[in-house]
Amino acid sequence: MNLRSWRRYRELFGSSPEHDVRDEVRFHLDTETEELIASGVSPDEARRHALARFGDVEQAMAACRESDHRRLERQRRGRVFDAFAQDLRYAVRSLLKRPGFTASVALILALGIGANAAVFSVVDPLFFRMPAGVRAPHDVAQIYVERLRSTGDRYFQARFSLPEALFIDSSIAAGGLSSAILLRSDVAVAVANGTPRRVRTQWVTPGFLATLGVRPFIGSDFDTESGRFGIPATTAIVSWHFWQRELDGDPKALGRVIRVAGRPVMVRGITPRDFAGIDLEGADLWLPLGGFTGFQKPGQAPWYESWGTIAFRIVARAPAGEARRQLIQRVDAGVHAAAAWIRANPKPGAGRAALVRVVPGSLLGARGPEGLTRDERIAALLGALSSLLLVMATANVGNLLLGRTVTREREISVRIALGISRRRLVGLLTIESLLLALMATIAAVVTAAWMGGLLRALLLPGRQLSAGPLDSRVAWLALGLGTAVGLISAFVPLSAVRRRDLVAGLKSTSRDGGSRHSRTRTTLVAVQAALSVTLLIGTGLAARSLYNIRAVDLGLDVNSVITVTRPDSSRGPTLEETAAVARGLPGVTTVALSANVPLDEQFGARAFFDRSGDTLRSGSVGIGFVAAEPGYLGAVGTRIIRGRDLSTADRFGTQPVMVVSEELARRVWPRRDPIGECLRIERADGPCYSVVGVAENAHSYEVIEDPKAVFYIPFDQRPERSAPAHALVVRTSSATRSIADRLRRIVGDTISEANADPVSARRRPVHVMAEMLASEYRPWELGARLFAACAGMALLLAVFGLYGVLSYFVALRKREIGVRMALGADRVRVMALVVGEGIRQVSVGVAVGVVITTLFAGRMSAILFHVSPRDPATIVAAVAALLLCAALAAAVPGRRAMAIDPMTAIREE
Amino acid sequence: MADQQELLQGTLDILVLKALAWGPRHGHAVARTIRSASEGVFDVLDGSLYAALHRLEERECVESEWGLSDKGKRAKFYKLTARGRQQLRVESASWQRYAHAVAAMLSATTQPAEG
Repeated sequence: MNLRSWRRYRELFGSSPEHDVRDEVRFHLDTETEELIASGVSPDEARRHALARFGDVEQAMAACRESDHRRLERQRRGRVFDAFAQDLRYAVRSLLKRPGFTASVALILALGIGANAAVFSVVDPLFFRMPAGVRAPHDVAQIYVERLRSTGDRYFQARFSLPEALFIDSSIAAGGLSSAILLRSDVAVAVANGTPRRVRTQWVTPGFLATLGVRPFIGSDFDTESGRFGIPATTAIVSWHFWQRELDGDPKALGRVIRVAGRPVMVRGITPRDFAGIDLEGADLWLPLGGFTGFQKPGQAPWYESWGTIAFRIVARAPAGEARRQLIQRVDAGVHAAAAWIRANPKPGAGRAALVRVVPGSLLGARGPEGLTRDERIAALLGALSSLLLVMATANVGNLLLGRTVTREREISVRIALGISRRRLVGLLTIESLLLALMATIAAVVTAAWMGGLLRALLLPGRQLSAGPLDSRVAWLALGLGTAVGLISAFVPLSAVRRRDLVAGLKSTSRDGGSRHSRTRTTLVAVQAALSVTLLIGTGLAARSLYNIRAVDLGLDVNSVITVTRPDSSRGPTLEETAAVARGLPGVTTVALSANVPLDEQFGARAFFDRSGDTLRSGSVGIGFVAAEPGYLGAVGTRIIRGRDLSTADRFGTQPVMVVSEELARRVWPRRDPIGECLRIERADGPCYSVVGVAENAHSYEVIEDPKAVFYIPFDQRPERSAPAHALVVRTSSATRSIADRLRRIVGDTISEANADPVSARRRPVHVMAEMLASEYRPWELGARLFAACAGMALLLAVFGLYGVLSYFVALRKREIGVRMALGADRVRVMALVVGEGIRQVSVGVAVGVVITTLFAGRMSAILFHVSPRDPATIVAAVAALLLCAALAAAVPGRRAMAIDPMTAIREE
Repeated sequence: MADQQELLQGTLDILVLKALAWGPRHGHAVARTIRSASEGVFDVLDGSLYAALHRLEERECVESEWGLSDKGKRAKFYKLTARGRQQLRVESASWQRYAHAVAAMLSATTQPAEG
């Protein structure tokens, strides 16, 4: 057999253009030559002539080969595409055949993926996404210093007093690095004659935008002139969005005058569209820090010389490496220079704990050295939880698909027998699950947009994040998760297919086909039970924490007390005038003036002396005092335990008296009756205030705080030079909120309730005391709610999963159950069989879940309040709840089993 | 061979399609058909002819199959596809219109009416 004839058989295996073209041309030339020879030309001449007529043989052959290659390639691609299109059609058909199955799978996945995408939309800006518009944001550092208290504990500080910040800032500048000081504050802004709106403002030193590498989109950056202190701001830089929203995108906006906190300010620049400050919440307005007036109190030293107002942050640009090291050095030098200056010129409130080290932190607060806030911790936990949920959803879908594969076993076996390649079969099943996942992903993106908005409202209330809840990063994440989940859930039935024994599949019915898969299915159920019980325990603990924190006795009646403060600059009525009006309002029972705002500020006396004028040492650290009109304690709802309250008879000129808190009594006169004792304040030769009563401990600032040593003195008897009346406490007997609204109108708080954000509630002049604490209860409520939502979803998934497995179990054992019933088993025993099987499958998971919970209990305790993370009652309740749900889920297939007619079941085979 | 003409671009394809219109044949037979039908007017190199055949196959106007020639040799036979037949119909109609117009213009004895 020569080579050429052998090649003929190659066609069986597919043609090769190279050989084909050569054969074809050779045939042509041979035939041509033969014909010429036949017409009488000499062989050599004939060959030459044939070649001449052909032209360039190599070139022609190359052209032919190229055409052939292109054609073959197209054919191959066409075949692949055809196969894919066919599989796709098949997959769509088979999904449509069972719309219930398809919908539930898509729904489960959509919830799982959507929850993850939504959580990511919150977690991303908190932890990962650097502020937009900042050039090389990783090179910009926020300055933190770690300090050491005399008590031995360390803390991080990101905010400084302005004089200290200026020391640091100029030290950094001396090192040739750029830096800026900033202060966040909300102010009322009015454009033209519009009503004032509260906008987010940053007061910055002139180098701010330059340090961040931001150039105004139009207009100019602040010059050094606008950096002078004490001169009210005259120019502002506004954000692109502010320009669009408030100035209608006016192309001639530069030079326009807006009113900021009542003063005219000219717009000097507009930032680029993507830049919205460096904080999670966008900023709308940048003003020169020198022109800030908010902290100024009349008759006191200029605010910018105050060492006691610790509110200013510092940012600096210093890429990692040499510049970073230099930055640390410069900040260190600045802190020491400030300390040296203070030693030479002592100022009130300027003492600072010792510097431990300087840390240039990330622009993202959550990644700074201070650690996570509660909200951030919840967000992180939520991220972990939602990924657990996704694992569950994936497992469930895998489970459902597996169940489906089993019922389709015969179909698949027939297909294999008919010659479908394994590869094709795998492709077919993968396409099915990817199709499901795709549907789910689309649903998930919609879910994510909705849930993301909801989550942000819950987690970060009152914060307008500069990034929307649904952006390309979130959408990509959803798509990525969808694809991954589709592939993974396809893998479960595929691994079953790979083990398929073709002949067995053809011969058998699903009756004996199940045992092989049952282990996988049982494992899936167990995993879900474990996750559910973990989340249920978490929910229980979070709910108990919330209950406990709500039950904390504040020593204050926060719900019926309104506090009114008067900003020093305000033009409205004085506190005394407001008090007079308030006394006349129906529903108001007591009104008292006070030097401090309860739950917001409290004065501390610096020195105490006993009756004989000796310095009081025992427990005198951190004693606070409240100077208020008699009636104050009754007004805020703090009960007198012993002795009497202050009365109007305790006036200037009479014997000075005080009421002390239980804690103060315990510390200063342990195991002694404090009534009749006396204390001198500030000066050893000052008047001795005799203790006339003991009040219960009242919280000074927060819901969670240690009992404070506090004493209360009549306003008229307060030491000289102590603060004037600053607040009004109004106790109401009914309609507290509407009284608060009336008081708001009286003092001229023009920002309507709708525009107010809950975070800044403390800064407003009138509020019900409970409002000030709302932000403290909120994380606890949030934790409980989120846990409950996650647990609910997990439980739902687990119940569905178990239901699926048991339905299958009943279908498989139909005959066996029939036989049992024929042999005399009653229906109750059949039900018990199914429910028992359900409980058995779940209990493994429950045990695992409980173990996991106890192992990771330590991590939980940070978000718990007065409840042990291993609280047995909670664990028992969670386990009981899960088992009850499992029993209910099992009862449905159980009823189906009870309804089996023994005769039919046995005859069926 | 002084009166042999260079073939206009694209014309070769239509000639090949026409040559196949009478039935399947191998490349050499196509060459022979074109040569004899054109009465030696066109100078078609056989190499370009094969390139055209393969090009037409790529465009799915013809399809090929290996078979045996009259003399029992293995040869590749080409056959018009439905698409090729359609292509031939369209192209030849357009060619005839074109040729007719050129011929009419060139054989005109009186000046055609202007615009």
